[in-house]
Amino acid sequence: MNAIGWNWSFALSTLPALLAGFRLTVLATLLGSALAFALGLALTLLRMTRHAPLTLIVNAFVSFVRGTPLLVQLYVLFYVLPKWGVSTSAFVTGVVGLGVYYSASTSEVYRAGIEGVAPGQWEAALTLGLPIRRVWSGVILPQAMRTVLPVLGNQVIAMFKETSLLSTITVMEMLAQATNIGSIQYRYVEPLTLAGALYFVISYVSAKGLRRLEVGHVNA
Amino acid sequence: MSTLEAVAATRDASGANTNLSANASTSMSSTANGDQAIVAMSGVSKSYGERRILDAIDLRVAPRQRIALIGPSGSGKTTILRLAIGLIRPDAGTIEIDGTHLWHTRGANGALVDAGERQARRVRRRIGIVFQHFNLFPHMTALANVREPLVHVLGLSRDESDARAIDLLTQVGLKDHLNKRPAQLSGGQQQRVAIARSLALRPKVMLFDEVTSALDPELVNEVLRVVRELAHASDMTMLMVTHEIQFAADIADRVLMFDNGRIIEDGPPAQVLKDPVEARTRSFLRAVLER
Repeated sequence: MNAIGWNWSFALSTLPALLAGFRLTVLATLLGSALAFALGLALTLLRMTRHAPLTLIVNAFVSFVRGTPLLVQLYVLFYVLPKWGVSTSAFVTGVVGLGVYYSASTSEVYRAGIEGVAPGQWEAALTLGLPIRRVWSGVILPQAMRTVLPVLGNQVIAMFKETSLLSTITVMEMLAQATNIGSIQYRYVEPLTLAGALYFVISYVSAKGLRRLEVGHVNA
Repeated sequence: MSTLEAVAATRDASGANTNLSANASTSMSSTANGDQAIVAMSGVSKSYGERRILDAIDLRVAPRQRIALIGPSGSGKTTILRLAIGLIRPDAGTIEIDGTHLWHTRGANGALVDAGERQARRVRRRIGIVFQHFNLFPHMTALANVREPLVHVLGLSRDESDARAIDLLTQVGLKDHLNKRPAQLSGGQQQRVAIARSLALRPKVMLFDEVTSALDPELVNEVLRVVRELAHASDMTMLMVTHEIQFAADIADRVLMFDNGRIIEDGPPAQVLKDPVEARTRSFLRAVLER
């Protein structure tokens, strides 16, 4: 057994731990995405109130979140917030960090989607006298969704890869499992390669699937 | 003006295919008399930035009148329609539709006070518009487009809405295209769906904003035919912005010539289109007819 070459039986032995980490990675992605979608919607709605001070605050928040690295935000949430008495598990902290970080860009995506609906659609809906709730639910949002959904899909894939940053705040997701095995066994090649391969396969297949959905949608 | 247009005109004159319901209209005098105006604008002005689009317009339209609005682009014709249906608010002046103010209410002392969007929303129900670019809802079928106002404005049941929507689409000759989306229809078919959708609420006034301008030439007539049938078979008031002079001459009983934000000529088509008083009208007609 040399430390550089590939050992299949060792590689196989790392799989259970890696898959346990993979479960956490997927869970963090799903929960983080759900939080980002909901928070992003809230930000978009707050912006659309056209309430000047509110818009200013929301814009400042979005700029700040987008203008600082996710890793720094995770460190702040993990190391600084507990000193102010806010403390939860590393996993919840990680999900909140991902959700907040992605909510900023999600809100931009929503806004672009809504603004991308042709002005003639508003005019048709208003001149028909549709109630404002119906204008949103029946006319504007379904059309905004067509442009928003593919972008959100790509965002989920990006977040799936970014969950690896949670390893820095002790969340035992897939990358943390891989480095953990490496540091115990003094062999990094197999676990890191397998982890990398899993990240790649999942994001590649998802991106392909998403593209197919998109094409299907256009043809529909 | 095209000969195709004239052919369509004769075909319609024979009365074939006129199955749009309601009473045949009687011809109206070309000037609206005082109290019974269904559209009344008084001193209406509208500017965009420095550009004055409409300049203190007074316009009274009698019920059942068919008015063609002609004039060079940018002269304010389309803006008048958008003001009439309350899509935009005038900078000055008042607009009444069917006796109700669009943007004002009477205060306690009888004076006019500003009213909000809710007032405009209520008044809009009595008036329909067909846009140059159709503005159909692209994610809905033809049937669903027409059903939309029936379900969500009139509050009809799904079955009743469907029955009415199918009836309307049949009237505009689209019985076989109920379940197609706008993208699967030609421009002419899309515009006919848009007309059916506007008719769904049985408006008292219909506005047509250059409804054939975005169409390929061979599709113009099928849309004009539907508008003609509507004019012959219903008693709706119609205001039509159009560059189809022959069409205007055929179905309008009053023609307004716009120039630079003002109505510079107002009279029956036989006068405005055949024997205009203003030099500006003559040069405009010459330019349009020589196209």
